[in-house]
Amino acid sequence: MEHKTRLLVLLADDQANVRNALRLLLEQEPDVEIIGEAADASGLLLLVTQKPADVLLLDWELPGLPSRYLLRLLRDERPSLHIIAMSSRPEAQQAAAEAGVATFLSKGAPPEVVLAALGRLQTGAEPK
Amino acid sequence: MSDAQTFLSNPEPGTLLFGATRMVLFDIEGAFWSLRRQLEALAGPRLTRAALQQAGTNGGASFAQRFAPQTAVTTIPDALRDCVAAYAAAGFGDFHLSEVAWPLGRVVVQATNSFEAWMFQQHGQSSCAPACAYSAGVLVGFINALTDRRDIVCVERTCQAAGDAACTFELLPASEARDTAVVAFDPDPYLSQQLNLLDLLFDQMPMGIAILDRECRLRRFNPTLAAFVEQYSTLSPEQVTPGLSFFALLPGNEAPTQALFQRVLAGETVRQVAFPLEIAGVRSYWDAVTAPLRQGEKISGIVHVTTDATERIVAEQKLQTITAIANNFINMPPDEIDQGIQDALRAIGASTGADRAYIFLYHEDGRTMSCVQEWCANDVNPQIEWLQALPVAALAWSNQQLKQQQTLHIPCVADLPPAAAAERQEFLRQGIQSLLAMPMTYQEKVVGFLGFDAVRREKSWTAVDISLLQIVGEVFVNALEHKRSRAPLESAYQELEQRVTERTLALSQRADEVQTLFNVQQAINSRLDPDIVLQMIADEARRLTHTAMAAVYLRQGEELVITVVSGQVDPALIGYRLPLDGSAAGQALRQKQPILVTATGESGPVHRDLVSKVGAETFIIVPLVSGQTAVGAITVANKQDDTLGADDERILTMMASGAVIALENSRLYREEKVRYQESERRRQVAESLRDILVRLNTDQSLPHLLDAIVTQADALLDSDVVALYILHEASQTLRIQALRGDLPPEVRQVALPVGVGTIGRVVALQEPMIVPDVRQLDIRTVRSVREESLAAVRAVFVEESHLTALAAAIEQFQAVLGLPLIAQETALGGLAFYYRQPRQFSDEEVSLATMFADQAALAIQNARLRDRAEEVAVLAERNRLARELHDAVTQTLFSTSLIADVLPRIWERDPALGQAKLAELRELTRGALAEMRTLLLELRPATLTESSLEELLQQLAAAVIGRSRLQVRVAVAGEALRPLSPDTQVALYRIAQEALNNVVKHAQATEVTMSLHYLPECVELAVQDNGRGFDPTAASIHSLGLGIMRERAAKMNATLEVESAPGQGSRISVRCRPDATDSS
Repeated sequence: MEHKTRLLVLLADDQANVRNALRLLLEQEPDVEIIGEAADASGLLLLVTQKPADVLLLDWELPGLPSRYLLRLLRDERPSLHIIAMSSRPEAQQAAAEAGVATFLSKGAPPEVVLAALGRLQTGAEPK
Repeated sequence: MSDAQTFLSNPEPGTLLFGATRMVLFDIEGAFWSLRRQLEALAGPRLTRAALQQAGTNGGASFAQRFAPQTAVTTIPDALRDCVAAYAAAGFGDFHLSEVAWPLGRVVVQATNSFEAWMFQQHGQSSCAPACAYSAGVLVGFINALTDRRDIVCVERTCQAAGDAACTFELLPASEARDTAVVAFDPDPYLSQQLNLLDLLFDQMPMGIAILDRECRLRRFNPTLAAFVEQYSTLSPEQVTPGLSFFALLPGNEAPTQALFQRVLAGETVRQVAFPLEIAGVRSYWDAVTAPLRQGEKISGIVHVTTDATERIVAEQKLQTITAIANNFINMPPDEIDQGIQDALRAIGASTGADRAYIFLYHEDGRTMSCVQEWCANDVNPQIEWLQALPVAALAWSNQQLKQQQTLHIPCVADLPPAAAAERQEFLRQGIQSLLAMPMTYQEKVVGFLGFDAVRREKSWTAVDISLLQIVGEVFVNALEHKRSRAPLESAYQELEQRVTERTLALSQRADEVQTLFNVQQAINSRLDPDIVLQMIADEARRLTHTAMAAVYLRQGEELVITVVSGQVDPALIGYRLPLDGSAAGQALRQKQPILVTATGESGPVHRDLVSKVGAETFIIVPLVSGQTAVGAITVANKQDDTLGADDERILTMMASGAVIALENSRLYREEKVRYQESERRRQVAESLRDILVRLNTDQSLPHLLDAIVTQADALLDSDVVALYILHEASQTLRIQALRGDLPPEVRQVALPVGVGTIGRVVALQEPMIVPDVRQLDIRTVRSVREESLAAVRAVFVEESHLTALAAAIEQFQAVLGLPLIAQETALGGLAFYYRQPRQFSDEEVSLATMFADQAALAIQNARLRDRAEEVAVLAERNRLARELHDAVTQTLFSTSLIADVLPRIWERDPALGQAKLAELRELTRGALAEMRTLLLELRPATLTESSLEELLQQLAAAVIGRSRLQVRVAVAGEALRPLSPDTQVALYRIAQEALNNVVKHAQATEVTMSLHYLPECVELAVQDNGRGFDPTAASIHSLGLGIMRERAAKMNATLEVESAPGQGSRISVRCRPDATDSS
């Protein structure tokens, strides 16, 4: 049996629908715990300083600060944080990769892809 | 109250109220009462009654004479009845005629509350005889005047003042009343009727009365006055006759007397108390009332009434002396009592005319006595020297009397009886002619006596003098006893005080230590610079231990560094490093124990170099221990050996704990400050970036934008100068576009070739360049690079002054950070930060600078893109729609797909939740549909006029509901009378759309209502939310959207109304005519 660690997850998306849907999906997973939600960059930065999250599901178009800058601040604050960028815009994948984000999720992707990305983190398959 | 009333109602003992003021008095109750009491006191009750009755008779007759002719009555009884009634009506009492048997029969008058009887009651007194003499006189006067008979008397049979129920007056001929004197109306033909009363009193009065004419000549005077003249004046009694000028009676006192008479002749009644006169060297004092004598309106003369107050005044003066002496002794400190008695003896001796004044005290054994104080007049020999420890038995006669508390008054020593032979011999030996000795008793025991001698002439003392001097004796004995009783108390007190002083000294030293510690504690709490606190601790430690030198060491690795010195130490020693090994300080640190070192010259583990430098012979060193770590040490030292001890060690240990706290505080503060600065910096970076982002999103001009970026960069990177260069592609030169800092303006004019200078090379290589310190570069290289640069500049641009300015500008900087502005792999310019001092650049700073460079590049690129407006506009619109499609519909669909995926599992577990989620799914799907339709409208704007505005608003609402949790309501009131013009419809739609977007983005609302109100003349659109609101007057992120909406409204000649306040939600409304057209 695979060794699974419990993941503490943050959700950052300006749309409540998206956050709610992600929460609904992830709450079905036994080893995932959502420990916070943010709707903009400043809210997220505050959250990151307060909560010991493992993973951040980050809307690449999160209002408040362009994500490539936001990433630097997030990494400064919490270097161990795994960031999974999400966007509905195709060009965002390239930008996220350039900014050093290892995992990108298209918002057009089916739910199993979302879960798979988290699953890789749990088994440690994903490099930090 | 008039002056007369004040004067009359406040009579004093010995004051005469008389003379021309009399008639005034009779009308005033208080004054009348006083007068009566005084008359009684002076003249006796009988004479007083007679005087009052005479006054009443004269008054009553005068009244009846004037009153009767005016009445129409014919009979005497009627006239009498009227007079009595008038008397009653005037307020003298309830008088009425009860019986008239006329002529020659009985006349009886009854009265209650007769004013005289009433006065007795008012003063709480009763009379043993009928009291209404004045009223009786008045009734007689009535008869006198009405019948012209002078033989009528009035007998008061009953009187309320004597306890009867009423007053009863019987008028009858004198022949029928036995022993009743006739008092009849008797006006004086010469000096007016007023004198009648005086005549009665004149001879018996104990005061001198003189009646003078206007020239102050004596007209009449009474025997008392004559006696006064005889006693005091130089005139013989025969010389005092009517017609003599009054001034002749008192030669030498004319001026004050003349002044007095002038006031009286001017109409004033003058009262004088203790008026001094000096006639032939004899001083006398007089109480006097001097009043004008009136005849009708005219003043015909002066009534002068006077009493001799000399005796009283002299007695008073003596009493005052005594009183002053007695008062003086109250609260007199014991050590001043002897001097006080000496002063008092002098004052009393002089004022009583004695030649010696002295005090004898009996000794405890009662068999001897001594003179303890003596005062002698000039030329009188002191005797005190020989009057010590005299046997009491030697003067048995006098001492026996004194011990029996008898006063010894010997007016003539020569006349002493044989029993007093010893006394006579002794007194004559001392030259004493007269002697007064008064026993001084304390608690009924005679303790001594107060004595007065007359040496130069015989003297006898008056009774008053003796009684006053007895008081003085009492005062003295009390003072002496007080002194005696206080003496042991005083010495006990002094001893106590001595002990308190000694103790206080010890305590104050301890208090000083405590206060110092307190000061240090305060300094620690209020100052964060540890050096200042350590300095203070070193200074105070030196002061408290009385040492010459003090220092604080701080540990750095295996060394101790002198950080603070105090006293006779060269300040250059600050920074001196002392190894832990081979020094007493190091030993103290390792042991964490204080060490006392003595005789440093001999041996011991001391650091020779330092000890010899400061010349310390002995010192104490106390380690500074913070937690488990010794962080330093504090020391005090002296140049003389054996001057330090355990107490100094104790003090130094206390100071050391203060130093540790100061160091600890300072460290904590520094850490806290660093933490704060870090977070503050992050906040500033975030804000700065946001500011730039906001600006980038607006249509600000490029120079403005770049200026703003440079300003922010300058602030965050602490540079002396920031310059943003723009690359001109054609000429391949750089020019400064934005500048912060102190550089001459010509520098902006310089065109720098790419590849030249730091920034030129940065742009050429498209790589950042970090120069922490230009001096650490190879000098030659730098110089050659500079020269090369300038040469290259010269080749491009020839303005000499600009070159000079640039050269000067380059010279002054020691550190540079240069970054290229790159967009899409193309260099657009450079950003350079210049510093006058060398410095290190942290990674964070470099990345921050890079961010600014990126922002600037973006801004330049945006601006250039904007230059190709049409092309970009199309592209941008397409991009926008694509983005919207992604942002809105895609995300909604993403959400639906996630929900749809888990829905079956949820349903299985919790069908109710499944239902709810399904409803949510439906809502989302509808929202996506609405959003799609909204976007389609954007693709084909013409469709905006094909649907009604209500439908469009509904669609907007559905789209928003789909992607947010917001409750959006559309309310329509009224009906459109005419269709909206296409322009109006589009404008209102756009405003609604923008307003709604703003609410979604910023308002944090839960409900929004879009209302469309058709009014007869106009249509109103309003978007109202319950969100956090904002200050409409403050510039904010909302202003952009508001600006666009305002513009749209203005184009329709309508005004956009914004109502909001923080926490109050917001309402945006616009009113316009339905057929408004776009005026653009």
